[in-house]
Formats: sequence, C-alpha cells, structure tokens
Amino acid sequence: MKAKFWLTKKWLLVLPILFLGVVEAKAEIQLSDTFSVTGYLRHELAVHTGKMNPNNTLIGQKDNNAINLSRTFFQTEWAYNPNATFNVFSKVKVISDQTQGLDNNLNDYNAFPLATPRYGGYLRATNDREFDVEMSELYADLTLGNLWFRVGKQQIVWGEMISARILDVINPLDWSWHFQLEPEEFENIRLAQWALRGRYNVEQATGAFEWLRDLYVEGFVNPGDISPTIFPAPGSPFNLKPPTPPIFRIREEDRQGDTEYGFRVGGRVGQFAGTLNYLSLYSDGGFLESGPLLAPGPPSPANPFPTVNKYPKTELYGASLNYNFPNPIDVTVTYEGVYSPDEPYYEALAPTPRISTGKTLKHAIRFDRKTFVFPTPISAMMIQFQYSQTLVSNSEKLKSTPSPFSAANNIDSTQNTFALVLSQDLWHNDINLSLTSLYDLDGASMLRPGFKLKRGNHWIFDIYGVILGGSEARPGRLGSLNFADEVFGRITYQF
Amino acid sequence: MKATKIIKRWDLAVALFALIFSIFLPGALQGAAIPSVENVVAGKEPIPTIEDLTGGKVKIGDLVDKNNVELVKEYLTVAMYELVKRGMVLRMGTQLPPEQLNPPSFGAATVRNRGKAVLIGNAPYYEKEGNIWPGGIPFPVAKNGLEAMCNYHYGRAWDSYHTAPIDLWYVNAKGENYKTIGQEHIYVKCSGRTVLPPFGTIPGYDNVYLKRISVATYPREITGLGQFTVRYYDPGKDYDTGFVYLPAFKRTIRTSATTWQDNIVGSDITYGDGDGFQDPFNGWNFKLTGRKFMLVNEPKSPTPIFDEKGQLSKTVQFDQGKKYPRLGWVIAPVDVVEGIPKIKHIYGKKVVYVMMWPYVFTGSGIHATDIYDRQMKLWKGYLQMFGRHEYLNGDRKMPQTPLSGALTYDLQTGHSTLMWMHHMPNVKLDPDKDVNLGILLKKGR
Repeated sequence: MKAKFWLTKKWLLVLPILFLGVVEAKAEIQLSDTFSVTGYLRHELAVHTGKMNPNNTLIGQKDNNAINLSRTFFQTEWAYNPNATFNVFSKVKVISDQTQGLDNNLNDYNAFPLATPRYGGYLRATNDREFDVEMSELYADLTLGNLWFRVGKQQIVWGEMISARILDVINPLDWSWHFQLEPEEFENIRLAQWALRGRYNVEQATGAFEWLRDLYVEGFVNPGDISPTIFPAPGSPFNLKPPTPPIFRIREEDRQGDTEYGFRVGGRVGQFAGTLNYLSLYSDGGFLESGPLLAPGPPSPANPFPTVNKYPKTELYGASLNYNFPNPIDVTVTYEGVYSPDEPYYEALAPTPRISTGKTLKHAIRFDRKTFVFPTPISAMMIQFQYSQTLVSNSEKLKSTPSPFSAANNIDSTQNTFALVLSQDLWHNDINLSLTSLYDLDGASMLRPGFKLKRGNHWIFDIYGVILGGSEARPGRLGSLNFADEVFGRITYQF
Repeated sequence: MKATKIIKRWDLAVALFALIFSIFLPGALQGAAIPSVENVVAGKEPIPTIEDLTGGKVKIGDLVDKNNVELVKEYLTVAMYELVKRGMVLRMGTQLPPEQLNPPSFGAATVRNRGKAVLIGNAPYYEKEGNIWPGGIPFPVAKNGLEAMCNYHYGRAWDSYHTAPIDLWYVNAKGENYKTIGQEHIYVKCSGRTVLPPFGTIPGYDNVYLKRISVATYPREITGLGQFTVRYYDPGKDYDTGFVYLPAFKRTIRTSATTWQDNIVGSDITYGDGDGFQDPFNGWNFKLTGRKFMLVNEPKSPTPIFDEKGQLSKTVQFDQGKKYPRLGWVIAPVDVVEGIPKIKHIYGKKVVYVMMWPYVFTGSGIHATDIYDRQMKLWKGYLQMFGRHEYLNGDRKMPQTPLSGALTYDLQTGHSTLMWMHHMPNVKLDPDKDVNLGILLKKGR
C-alpha cells in the first residue's frame, strides 16, 4: 500500500502546476471579463500526540498511530459574473489523503466515507478510499431589486456564535477527516445541500414604523437532498464510535425526498439587532430504533434485532439579539438561542434502542471587545468570551447513546460551557496569533493555540496545537476526545 | 545744482534700497500682489498659482524635490514636506475653475442655503434643530474647527458612490509593493442630497446620514470580509451601528466603534483615517488654526490615472520604487483644523486640511491629514489623490472630480500604503437594495 501511494498519485501534481503556471500577482485569475477562478493548493499534516483511539483498539489497531492526518487539497472556486443580476459560483475539490499510507499502525479505512452509499446529492466523481474529486458547491444567485435568490448546492449559515452550533444547524457536517478541529470551524466541513434560498429586503418604512430598520425576511427549502452527518470511518484516527454489536441488523432510513425548510425575519430597532427563526429539519445524526427479535431465543448475529437508523424530524424555534455598548465600554453582546420541543434522544430504560424526545433549549451569550493590547501600530486584539448552556427537560428519562443506560451515557439537565477566543494580528497582518479555549463545567476542556504566517499575496503557513481532556468523558463531550490530541500544520498557496 | 545733486543721490539711495529690499525680502513686494484667501473664496480675486506665490521661482510644470522644496514649504502639509525631503517628487499642475470641480446642483444648493446653517451639537441644521441640512456646504467661511469639519462631512459633493476596483498596496521601506489587497466600497448618503433624487433626505432616513459597505475582493483568504456601517446624522446622539461578515466562518457579527481605530487589514490606514477623517466627530475637539493656500493634488492629470478597466494606468510614474506616485499639485484655499481626541485614542492629534468652498473636489473635501501619535510626534501623513476630471454620465453640464486614491505613509517606520480607488461618485444607488447585510452575504464566499 505504501508503494502504491507513492506511485499512483503523482499525476495529481500536474493539475496544480498547470494552474500555478498562469497565476497573476493579484491572487485571482481572470479568464475573461465575466469568468474568474481563485483557489488554493494546500497540504495539511497532523501529528498525533495523544493516546491511541480506544474505538480503534476495539477493531484491532495494535499500536498508536503517529499521524492523524496527511492530506493535500487542490480547491478551485469558479465565479461567473456576467452582470449584477445573475452570477454562478462553484467550488471544486481534488483531495488526496495519505494518512494511512504514511502510518503503518493505522488499519485500512475509508478516508472519504459518505454517510450512506451514494446518499444525498453529492457531486462526487470518485468512489475511492484515498482520493476524492467533487464539486462541493454549485449555485446561482439571482438579484431582482430587493429580492435575492440562491439556488443550488450551498451552505446556509444562520447564527452568530463561535465554536457552537445553535442556529447554524441547517447543513450537516463532515467530521470524517478532521472532526471539528479546523481553524475555520465549520467552513471546510459543512456539507452543502441542494436548496433554494431567498431573501427580501424590506424597504425602509416611514412615519410610524420608521424605527424599524434594515428589515428582511429570509427562507429556504431543501426539497429532498437530506444528508446526514458524515462520521469518521472505523479505523480513522478520529473514529468516534465503538463498533456496533453484531446483534443489531441496521437498515438506514432514507430521507432523500423529504423536505427541510425554514424562515426568519431580521432587523434593527435602535442599536438592538436580531432575528426570529423557525426551522423544520431532520436530525443530522442517526438514531437507532430496534424492533423485537424475529425468532425466539437470545439475540445473536444469526438472530439480530431488526434496527432502523432513523433521522427524526425536529422543529426549532430560535432567536438572536445583539447590542453594542459604545465608548468607553466598547463591548458587543450577542445572544442566540434555539428551542426544540422534540429533540431526539434515547429512552433511558428501554431494553433495546428506542428513540425518545426531550424539550431542549440551547443558548449562548457572547461578549466581544477589540482592545489594543500591544502598542500601535499593532492591530487591536479581538477578545471573545462566550457562555453556552444546554437545558434538557426530563433528562433523567433520556440517554445519549443506544448502549445500556449508565453514568457513561446519561444526560445532564444542564450543560455549561465557556469559550474564550483571542486573535492578535501582527506585522501588517502577516502574522496572526490565536487561542481558542473551551471549558465544560463538568470537567472537560479544549485548547487550540495557533500561529499563522502570510508572505505576500500567495503563501500561508499555519500551525496549531490541539489539547483535549478532562474527566468528563461521556460521548460527545470534550474529555471523550482526548485521543485526538495533535499538532497540525498547513502550507497553503492561494491564487 | 547742489540741490539737484542731493535729489539725484536720494533717488539713487531709494532705488538702491528698493533693490536690496526686493532681493532679500521678496515677500514684502509679493505680499502686495497675492490675494487673500478670503477674497479668493469670495470670488473677488482669482486664485494665485504657485508661480504667483513663489515670485516666479517655481512655475507650473516644474518639479519640486528635496533640492528645492524650501521654495514651497509653506504650501505643504508637515508630512508632505517630510515626504519630499525623503524622495517624493511633486509636479506643479494646473488648477481648474471652481465650477468645474463639482456638480452645479451642489454649488447651487450651497448658494441657496448660504447663511441658513446653525450648528447644534455636532451637526448642522437648517435654521433650527430638527431641520436636517438639505445639502451644499453649510458654512462656506467656517468660523471654527467644527464648522470646517462639518463642511467636509455634511458638505460632500456626492450623494452616493461605488468604488471598484480598489487596490491596496503595501509598500515596505525599500519601496517594494510586497502585498496587494482588493476592495470594493459602496456608500449612500441619506441626507443632504443635491445631485440624485430624492433630494434632501431620503424618506425614512431622517436620522441616518450614511450607509456604507466595504468588502475585500482578494486575495482568496479574505474575499468577502466585509463591513456594513450606519453613520447617524448626529454622532453625538446616535453612535455608529456596524456589522462585519467573516467569510472564513460564514458568519455576520456585530462590531463596536473601536473598529474606527483599528487598521484596515493590517495596512497603515485605520478605518478612521479613510477619506482623511472618518471618526465620529463627537469623540474629538476641533480648532481652526488658520486658513491658507496649499498645494493639493491636481483635479485633472494630463495623463490618465486609470485605464479603461479601472486599473492603475501604466503611465503613472513613481519615485523610490513604488513609494511615491509622481503627481501634479495645484494651489487651493484650505482650512487647517487641529483635532484632539476626547476619548481614549491611538492618536494624540490630527491636523486636517479641509478644502474651502468653492474649491471643493467631488471625491472628497479633505486634501490631507497629518497624524500624530500620543507623544505628539508626527506619525503618519495621509494625502488624497484626485487627477480625474469627468462629466457624470457624459453630460458636460455635470462636471465632477472623483478620488483616485490615497497615500498613507508611516514616517516612523518607512512603511506605506497606497490605496488606488476607481471612485465613481453619484452613481444611482439605493440605501435599501444596495447597502444591506445581504450584500455582504452575496459578496462573501
């Protein structure tokens, strides 16, 4: 496998070399007056510094892997802008994954899994475990006066919070290759879906309603490209799940053809700005529900529980609000919350996996301040402090995984997390220092310090550390991910 | 005979004295010939040229460099003088008649509303508080620093503008342009409108003065990084509302007014430096320290500044690498305003050179700004560049002088930022359709 890796993918280099041969100094290639392309060539390497992934131990990995990720990306973004009314955008990715080729301790795994075989409207030209070519986004914008539409394979992002998905829940995520550890948070891992999105900017009212400013109404409909979260494949350094016991025979509930939609209204009253949101979505993560055994006798691989992996529908009611305190306080406060009357969980005491729901409120408040920490002309430091909380009613009757109920999968009625994000640009923004820190009050944490160096218009070098830990190791909590500790770096040439 | 000899000797003495006086004190004779700023702006006398002011020592077409800059020192900003000594070269250009500098409807509004402006708080009103200023220069002869600054801010000769492309050059101390960032700006003025209907105030925008969008267009990493800002009519009553779109996160977040003090994507220009002075006025004390004739960037360059695509023309020359564009400079009457911040600020002082009516360029009413650090040491020089005279929609009855760019030079480090702006004033733009949060989303990735 190692020899094959080095011999077969060399042609991958031809494409980017061809592109790089025609780049202009301004880091964008204008192919014609209306057609341009930009993009980047990037290599990313993550060196594993944590313990062996226990989920992979259970499927036969013998020694700890030294590499979490080695991946080369050639991403191009094509824009067709014939006029101010209509334009088309497309993002094409060519990706080579060398992780398992470089690390003998990793078992074979699929570096480019899909949630289910050919599920969803992925524009993926390949079906390879180490190589991927796909058109990850393709959409057209149409602007007609105050009305704007975007139709196509797109990311729809509502919400303003950092390191937390409260209202930003429309698109599922691809956790398969680097979990949620990318510095751009979700930009590189949100799965674009085929949808129609529209927004209407309401003309400024006069007279009695002049106090209502920048009012807009927005909505979207996904007519059937329902796509679940892509989890890391078994054997992947980021494998999150232990193997499913063979006593469950699982059938996927196909949500293709079902509809997701949402709408919101946003605007300002004085210095208060906010939105009211409604979303009707199917759960991104699957939930198992088992029926009775088909034959008498104990469950076994020969007599399994028929089980459906379901994606329950949820309704979400959300709101966001922000306000800026002027000088000398100079702090911006942002609140965001979403309430679900039917958030899916598992019934705690059911003998076999059974889906139940709980009333759930997820909300967060964030304080932002730009402060000159270093002497000018050095830029101001952005300081962001955020408190997030999840409240679950009847939590004692619920559990988070289909495993038998225990302290390892019970659900707290309240979960609290603090986030502190610092970002400091130096040297005419050629250097950026960052620190993202998350602290779960139940005893788990993540630290991600970062250093970025930019040279000219094209080159970017960045390096980050990821330190996860804490005693709170229940599924989905930061402490359970401490096998993912790493140092990762990226070299990027953008054009 | 003796009396005649005495008279002849006296005539000779007087003549000799006059000759000595004219050689060693040229201003004494010239002073009598140079019109006052007040007479020039009142239209009583023509504006002098640099040749008039220097007694013929510097003529139109001449180059001024470090070797002869002393001849024009009193007509330069403090920073400009330093830049010339460091290698900047100035070409003496030709001024245009004032009626060719901005749209006639703006001038007509100034004349029509003359004497009606009252300063209340930080803003001018028409005769009394509550009547938003309808347009034109509110205080054609400012009596104090705030009035002069109001002339610049509320007396803008554009009702909207779209500036694209914008190229922001980062130039190091060696004169190398090592990095370039692209931007696009959209501004709509919601009151004081004189060129594009609706005139006066746009209905529904009584307390809003400006809406603006500023967005990065390249390199790819920051494409779509944009700001949406609302500046209210009186910043003392309503502070700015701002949002920023972060394309890396696809999120729009609220920003604070401190942003005005931060630099634009790491350049030498802060958001508050843009256009010479963009900070909200209520954070500053202003003092009119004088008015004088100064060399400002010429309104019409003999060679094009931009090509047909809005990119910098290859005919533009530079000195010392890409540090200093070699441009033309003309005499204009200028109010000199010293601004001291009242709030905690990165700057100790700004000296703003505000062009006086009727010699106001469409692109901006500020010629230059000298910027001092908190120790009151000269830190940066900001110079506006024009050089483009055109007719709106090709109509020769609608002359205007757009901006071409700005040079911000950090005199303490030798690093500079050249902002080339293909500025298109008075294009039809709507504050609802063209300046809203959705625009940031569209222009982002």
